[in-house]
Amino acid sequence: MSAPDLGQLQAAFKAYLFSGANEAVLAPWFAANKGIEVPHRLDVYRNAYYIRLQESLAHDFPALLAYMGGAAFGREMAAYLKACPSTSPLLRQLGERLPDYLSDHNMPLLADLARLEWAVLEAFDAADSRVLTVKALQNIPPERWQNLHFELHPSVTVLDVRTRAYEVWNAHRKQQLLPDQQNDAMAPLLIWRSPGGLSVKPVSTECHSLLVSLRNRLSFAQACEQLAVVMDIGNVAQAAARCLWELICQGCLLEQLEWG
Amino acid sequence: MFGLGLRPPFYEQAIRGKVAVDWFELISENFMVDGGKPRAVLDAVCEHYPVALHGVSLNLGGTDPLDEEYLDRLGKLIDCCEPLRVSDHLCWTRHGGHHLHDLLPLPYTRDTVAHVATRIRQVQDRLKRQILIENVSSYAEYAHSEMSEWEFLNAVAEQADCLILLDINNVLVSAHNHGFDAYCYLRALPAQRVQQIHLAGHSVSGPLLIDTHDHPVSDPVWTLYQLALQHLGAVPTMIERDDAIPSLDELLAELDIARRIRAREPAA
Ligand SMILES: [Fe+2]
Repeated sequence: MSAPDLGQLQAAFKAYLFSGANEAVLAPWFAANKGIEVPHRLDVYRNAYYIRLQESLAHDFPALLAYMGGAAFGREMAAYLKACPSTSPLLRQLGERLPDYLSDHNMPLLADLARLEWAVLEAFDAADSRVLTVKALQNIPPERWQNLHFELHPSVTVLDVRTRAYEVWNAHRKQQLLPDQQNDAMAPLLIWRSPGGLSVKPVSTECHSLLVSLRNRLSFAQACEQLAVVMDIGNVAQAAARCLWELICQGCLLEQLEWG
Repeated sequence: MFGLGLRPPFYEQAIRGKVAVDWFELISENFMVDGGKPRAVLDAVCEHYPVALHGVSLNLGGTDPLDEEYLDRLGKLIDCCEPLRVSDHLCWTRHGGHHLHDLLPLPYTRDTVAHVATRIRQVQDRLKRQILIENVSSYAEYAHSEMSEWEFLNAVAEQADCLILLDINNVLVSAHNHGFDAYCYLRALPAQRVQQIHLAGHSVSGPLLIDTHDHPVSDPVWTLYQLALQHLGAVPTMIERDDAIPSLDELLAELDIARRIRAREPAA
């Protein structure tokens, strides 16, 4: 058997780690030193690959693991790793495509739960930025409000969930049993990091509308126009002010403001 | 001269500068984030201690092109913590754009030496500093290898003009798994290039030893450490522990064993 070149060898080794199917191709390239069979030696790498990556996913998606149970989680993650092998040098990114994978495989609750846990991870190490204070806001002259652009803190994620993922996540966080009774109100979620720690909370339709507008980089005036779509126009100003106040108090907006 | 691998259970004590070590080794990838807790830990630890950066994803032995974005991030991390040393492993970790998150073995051939040495030189040029390459534990050896592991390590270090991070547990594990003489390995190393030593524990799986970092440093590793010091002189030494992590006091007591061994060596 002629010696493979390095690229050929690594391609075969990778295929072996992923599925094990080509063991017969790979094994002859190795030496059975000390009488220890090559398949046994290669097994060490293949087992370590799946164990290491599954442990990483279990660490990053603890509520998903608890909800699915170890066996089902293990099966689904093995399938995910085959479908979406890691493309980042950072193990931390391994679960990035898990929410979409679960959506594509028709598991909406698991997908939402994964989306929520991923947003928590993202919030954990998002960039640090100075946040807007109420005092700074009060210094803005009234005539400038029209074109004011607020920016969300890099740790902020707005999730439009359609399942009881938040209930499941919250029950896991509080180490409680999941209530049997399904809560019909599936409110959108706001996830962010403040000096006090990570927070996840359901938000009202109005606040969700405002958050989505800000995320889409609309001006405050345009955001108010969007609000008028989901509520009575007479209440828009008051609702916008209340949501804005809440976001500022929670440290969800950047200090840096833009006009125009 | 004695350090520890910084792991999350020790963050709080390290942030306050309360750990009796001379330096910490940080896993580079854990701090390649934009902000939040990891960055805060990095800044605080660097205020109290010198650090060494240790990477696992440089893919020095791979055939995929070097990852420019990764090197950018590593460069930024270096600017930010001015590390004593920057290291990664003598192995491959990625192929066809897929990261395997494991330290996979290379064939010990002259072609591989040239290939890896060229890539190390590219990295060193890019980072404007010498890096250290670490010997890894291996469980399988290629039939077409043309030299011993230590000859391979020395040839790569020589051709790349890089430094060596000697992991003594990895020498022991590979010596056991492939049946070579660990002492022979240590004696063959170029003393001037070995700038850091890793000590760690392993586990037993049938006929093979596995580099799991989940046990205390074993007695044979302490013996090899003593032999290594006789040959290499005083080399900054640390303990790696990644699983079944004991209390900090326990790890510091283990580090004291290394200190005592060093104190006994006249060469130190
Ligand atoms: Fe090591």
